[in-house]
Amino acid sequence: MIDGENTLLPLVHFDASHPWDALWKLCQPSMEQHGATMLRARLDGVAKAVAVEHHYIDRDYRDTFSHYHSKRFNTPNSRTLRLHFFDQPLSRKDLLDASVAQPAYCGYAVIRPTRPICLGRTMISPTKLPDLKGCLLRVSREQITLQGTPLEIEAFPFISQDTDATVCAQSALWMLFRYFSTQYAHYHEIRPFEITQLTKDYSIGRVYPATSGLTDWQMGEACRQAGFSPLIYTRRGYGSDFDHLLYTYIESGIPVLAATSDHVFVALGHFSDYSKTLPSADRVPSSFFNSGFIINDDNRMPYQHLPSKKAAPASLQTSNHGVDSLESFIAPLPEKVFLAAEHQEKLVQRLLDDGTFGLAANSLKLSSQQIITRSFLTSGRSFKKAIQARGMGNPRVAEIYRSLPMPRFIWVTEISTPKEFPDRMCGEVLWDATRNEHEVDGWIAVHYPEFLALDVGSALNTLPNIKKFNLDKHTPYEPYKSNLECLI
Amino acid sequence: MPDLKSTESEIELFPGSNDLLESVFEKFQDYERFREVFYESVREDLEELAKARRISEEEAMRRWYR
Repeated sequence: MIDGENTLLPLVHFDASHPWDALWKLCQPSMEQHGATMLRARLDGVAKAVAVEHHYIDRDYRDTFSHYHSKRFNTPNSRTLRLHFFDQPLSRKDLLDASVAQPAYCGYAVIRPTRPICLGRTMISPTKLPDLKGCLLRVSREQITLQGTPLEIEAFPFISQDTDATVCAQSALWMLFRYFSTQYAHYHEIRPFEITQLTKDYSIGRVYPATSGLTDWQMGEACRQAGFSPLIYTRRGYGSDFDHLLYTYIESGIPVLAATSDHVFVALGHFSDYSKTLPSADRVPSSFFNSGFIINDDNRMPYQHLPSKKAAPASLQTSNHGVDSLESFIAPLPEKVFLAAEHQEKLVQRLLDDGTFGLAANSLKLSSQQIITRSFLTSGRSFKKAIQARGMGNPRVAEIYRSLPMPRFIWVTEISTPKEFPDRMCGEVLWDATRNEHEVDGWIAVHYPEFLALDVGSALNTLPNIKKFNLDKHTPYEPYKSNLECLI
Repeated sequence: MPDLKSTESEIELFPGSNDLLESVFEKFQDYERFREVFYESVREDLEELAKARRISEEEAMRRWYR
C-alpha cells in the first residue's frame, strides 16, 4: 500500500502488490540500480514501512553540489530524497508520535541525484539487522526530525562515492570523521568537499575531480588535519603482528581505515568464534578468536562482514575482500595517545615475565595454567565509571582504582584463563597511554588474583614509588565492555 | 610556605591506605636499576618496531585508493 503517493511524504507499506520496486518508482529519477540493490539487500525482511521525504536538503550533498556539481554545464538537482525505514507498518498518524515511531525506527538513507552511485549519508541501526547478531561494533548517536517528529538513531555513518568529488578514499574518511563528530563534541563536522581540501597541500596536481584517489600518506595527513594523531601500519612492516594490531585498535573502539592493494574502507567492529581450539602457547591473545571484521565499504552496503580469508561471498552481506587481503591500515588515534598498540603489547608481555612483577613471582593461580590476554585502549574516566559494577575481583582493588589519579587514556591488558574467558577476568595491567615506548616504567597498576602493585608516585606526579598489596580473596569479574556495542 | 613535598608524601589514596600498601623497592636506586634492566631487555624489540614503522611510512606513498 502507498499512502499519499503524490504528497511530499509518501508512506510505503511493503506487501505483495507493493514490493521494493514500488518504492524505487517513487524515488525516480534519483534512485539507480546499484543503490537500490544495496539498500534492499541490507533491509529486505527488516523494513516493513518506508517514509519517502521529498525535497530534503542534505548538508553533505549540498556541500559537493555547491563546490563541484553546480559548476558543471549539466547540473543535477540540488535537493535529495531521504528514505526513513521502520520495522513496523506504521500509519501516517503514527509518524507524528515519537513514542510510537521511535521503537520501530531503523534509520535513514539519503538518495542523491548522482551517478553512478546515489547513496548519500546513511544511518541504519545495526541492532535491527539479524545478520549482525553477536558482532561487536562502534555506533554514534544522532538526533533527527521527520516533519517535526524527533527521532534518534544509533548507527555508524555510511556514504557511497559520487566518483566526482569523492572516491573510496574520501568516502572512507568521511565515514570515519562523521562517526567522531557525531559521537564526540571535541571533533567538528567535516563535509565531503572539505575532505578533498584537507590534502590540497600534499597533492600532485588537482584535488578534484578526485579520480586519482588518495594514498595512505595523504589519508593519514587528512586525519592529522582533522585533529587526530594517525599511525600507519602495513602488513609488510608488521608481518604476523599486523592482524593482531588491527584487532587491538578495533577492540579499543577506534574505527580504522583498512586498505587492500587498491581499495579502502572503514573497519568498525569485529566478530569472534570462542569455540576455537586453543593452541598450546602459554599465552594466547584474544585476537586468536577473531573471525573477521565489520566494515563500511562505500561501494557496497553498511556493515559488511569481512571474513578472515578472501573467498567468493555467499551474499551481499559479506565482503568480496578478506582480512588476508588487507595490506595496510590507518589508526586515527586521539591526540593524547602517545603509546602505540605494538609498544604496549611488547612492554606488557615483558612485564608479565618479569621476576619482580610477573606472573610466576606473584600469582600461583595464573602462573600454573595457560592465560588469555585482551588488550585495548580506553579513557581513564570510562574505566573508572565501570569499576563499581565490575567489582574488579576484590573490593580493595576497586577502591584503590577509583581513588588513583589516572591519565586521559590508558592501555588495559586484561588477563583471563581458558575456563573464565570471555565472560570473566582474573586481573589486568594498566598502562599510561600518554607515555612513550622508551618509558618502560609507564605502567599504572599490575593486578593478579593474589597481588596488586601500583606506581603511586607517578599517579601523584612525583618520582615513581611502587607499592604492593597482597590480596586475600578474589572473584573473577566481568570484562570491560564500554568500547564496543554488543549486538544480541 | 608549606613544605609541599612532605604534604604530598602524606597523601593517602583512601583512609588507611598507606598502612596497607608496602614499598616494593627499599631505595630509589634499586628502582632505577630495575628500570635499566627492564629497558635493556626490550631494547631490541623496540628497535625492530621502529624498523616496522619506517617500512610502513615508506610504503604509505605507494598505493592509491580510488
